[in-house]
Amino acid sequence: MARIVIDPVTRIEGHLRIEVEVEGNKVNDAWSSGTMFRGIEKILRGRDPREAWIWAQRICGVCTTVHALASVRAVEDALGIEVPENATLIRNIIAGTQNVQDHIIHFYHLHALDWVDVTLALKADPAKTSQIAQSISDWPKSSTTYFKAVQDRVKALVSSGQLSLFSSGDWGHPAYKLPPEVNLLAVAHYIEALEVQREFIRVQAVLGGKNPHPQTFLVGGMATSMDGNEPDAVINPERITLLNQLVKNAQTFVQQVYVPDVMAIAGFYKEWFEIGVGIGNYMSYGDFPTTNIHDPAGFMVPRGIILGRDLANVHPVDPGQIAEYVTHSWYTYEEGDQAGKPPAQGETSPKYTGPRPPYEFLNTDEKYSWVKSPRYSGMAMEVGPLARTLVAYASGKQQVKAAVDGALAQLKLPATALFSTMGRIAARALEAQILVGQLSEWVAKLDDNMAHGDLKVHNGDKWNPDSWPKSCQGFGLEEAPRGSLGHWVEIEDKKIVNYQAVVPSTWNAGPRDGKGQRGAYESALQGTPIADPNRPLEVLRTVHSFDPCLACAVHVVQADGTAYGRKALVL
Amino acid sequence: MSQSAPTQIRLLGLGNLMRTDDAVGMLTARMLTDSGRLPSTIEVIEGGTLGLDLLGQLDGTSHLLVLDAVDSGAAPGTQKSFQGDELARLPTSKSVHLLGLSDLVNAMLLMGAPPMEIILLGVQPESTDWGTALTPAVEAAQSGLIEAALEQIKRWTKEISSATTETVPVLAIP
Repeated sequence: MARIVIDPVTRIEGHLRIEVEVEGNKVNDAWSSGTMFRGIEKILRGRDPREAWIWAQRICGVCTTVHALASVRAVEDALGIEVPENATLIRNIIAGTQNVQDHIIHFYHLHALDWVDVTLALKADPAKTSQIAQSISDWPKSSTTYFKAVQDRVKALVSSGQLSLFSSGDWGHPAYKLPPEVNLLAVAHYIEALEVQREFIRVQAVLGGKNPHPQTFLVGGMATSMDGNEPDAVINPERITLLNQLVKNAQTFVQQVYVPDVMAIAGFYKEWFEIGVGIGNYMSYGDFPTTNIHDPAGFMVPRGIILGRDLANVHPVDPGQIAEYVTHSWYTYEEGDQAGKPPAQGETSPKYTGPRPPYEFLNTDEKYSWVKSPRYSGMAMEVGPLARTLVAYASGKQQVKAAVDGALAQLKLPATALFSTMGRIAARALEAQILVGQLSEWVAKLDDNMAHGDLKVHNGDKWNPDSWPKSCQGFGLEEAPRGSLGHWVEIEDKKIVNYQAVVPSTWNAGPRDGKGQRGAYESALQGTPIADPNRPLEVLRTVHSFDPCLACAVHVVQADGTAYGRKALVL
Repeated sequence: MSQSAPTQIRLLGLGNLMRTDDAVGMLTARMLTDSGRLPSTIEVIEGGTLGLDLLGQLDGTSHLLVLDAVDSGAAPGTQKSFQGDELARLPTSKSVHLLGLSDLVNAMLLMGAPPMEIILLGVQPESTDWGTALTPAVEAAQSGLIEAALEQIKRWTKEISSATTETVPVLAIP
């Protein structure tokens, strides 16, 4: 049995190592290892809880904003603070924008090259690409001349001998199945998406002051002034017009480019609707409150759990059932390493017992990751766009049901096809489409409130620490682009005494627990076909379908001391 | 970029402030801002490790001067400049940054609107280990880097003012 190591997995954020055991051209077993330690919990101890979000947000520069939001929600929960409706709307717009932008970047810039062979795009007939483009979408950039120009630019890049952005592809791999013309279409949209994502994220800069790391979060609401008559207010009629414009442009791109591209590419890779199935348990904390954070029934993205791929039943989420295990993680617990600890009583005591680099393989019978193993009621869960889509679908959310059923009908596939690598990709695209449509409604509501003189963005009743109880604890839940995110905080004498973050990639990238139950990546990799053990592209397809973001699952110390090359290298 | 497009010189400092000499571009860009020696028309961007997130801020740049740590195997503190296709060819695979400068340059080329000129002034690092202070050799190289940056900006400013009616060559992939 051959053991293949992919380290680092590229085109992700952070450091991830995957080891797979291959037997008869299929993955027999897999191990997922986060190779950096995240120490943010320790950094937050002793700090003022009102500033926790500023620090927590720095966990990651890619899913910027998400940790700020989870953090203010946790502190507000602990202190019993209700935020005004406008603050909820602004947070929804910021978080929704982040989700949509992240999905676009993930599909085009982090994942598409697993399915699209850039070198084949050079062999395409631009006239045929134009025909295909016009047959699947009304998107105006679809002429032969346009695709020819794109092809020439890519040709120039490739002939310069430096593939740069495209350097990490396994070009010529037998698993690539798109005709040259579709490859060219996707490469053109890869380039367009660079422009779209940079333009759309201006929403973050308008409402958050800057991007990444918006600066306007505040325990109790937002620090975004609102005034219809004040040109210097963050939110005024002029800004509403700008927000509407940015949202509309992104919506057009998602509808006319992103979703049609995913559908077209999925049509050529239908077998991937049966590969990468995974755990079969899906969890969504739910998010985007329409009333307030304590009313999940009013969430746009519903809360719930699906067990064993049974879409007939949606189970409730009880945050008290979440516990983290470290049996196979480089940490130790006071109670012993077999214990499960709820995040509210969480402990971050690193204890590296792995091999000294350089090493060939990890000892996966022992501890092998910096990521802990979170479990819900003892069960492993997959989180993310697919989990959210399935929970919404099974809960009978009309908009989601219509979108999913429409896509399945177009591809002539049953609902069970969603439990797969390609299902994750399709769910992410459909989620982006629904969410970007919702954004304009939140902007409209904000505009309406402003017109009616409701300018309140912050509740300062409990800003003064003297109004706080001597000790309290709380948690903030959120659906970040990559899935369910939770921050837990314990406050004593006006200071943070304990802080824990259980992030989406902890659920998905985590190692086995004490009972040997695999994490989501590990489980999804079972049975993955491998055409060429020297180029395990298929493994990357499934891992990438989760949109790994390890900077947040683990952080700070780089375990390997790899020396960089001796050629001129920009650091 | 059309020939009539307005000119905008930008100075971009790159690097991770927590990785010793990797921060040399960022720290030198700050020193330049604080020195008061830069013409007011020059925009300074502290790019950190943002990679492609910088595309938005670089929009409309006609001349881009980048300060960064560059490992070319020379003695620590050695300054070297790169331009044209040398830049696009710089390897990036093991960059400390999420996406390297050459990825950024190539993304701008693919998007069809790159700056007319990009020059990278690089300094050979001694260490990129964890730490917030530069090593002595690299710290000593900062004054030379500042002079080289000011010199380049002066040259560009002169070119721009004397070339208002001339055709400006667009940076092309070789």
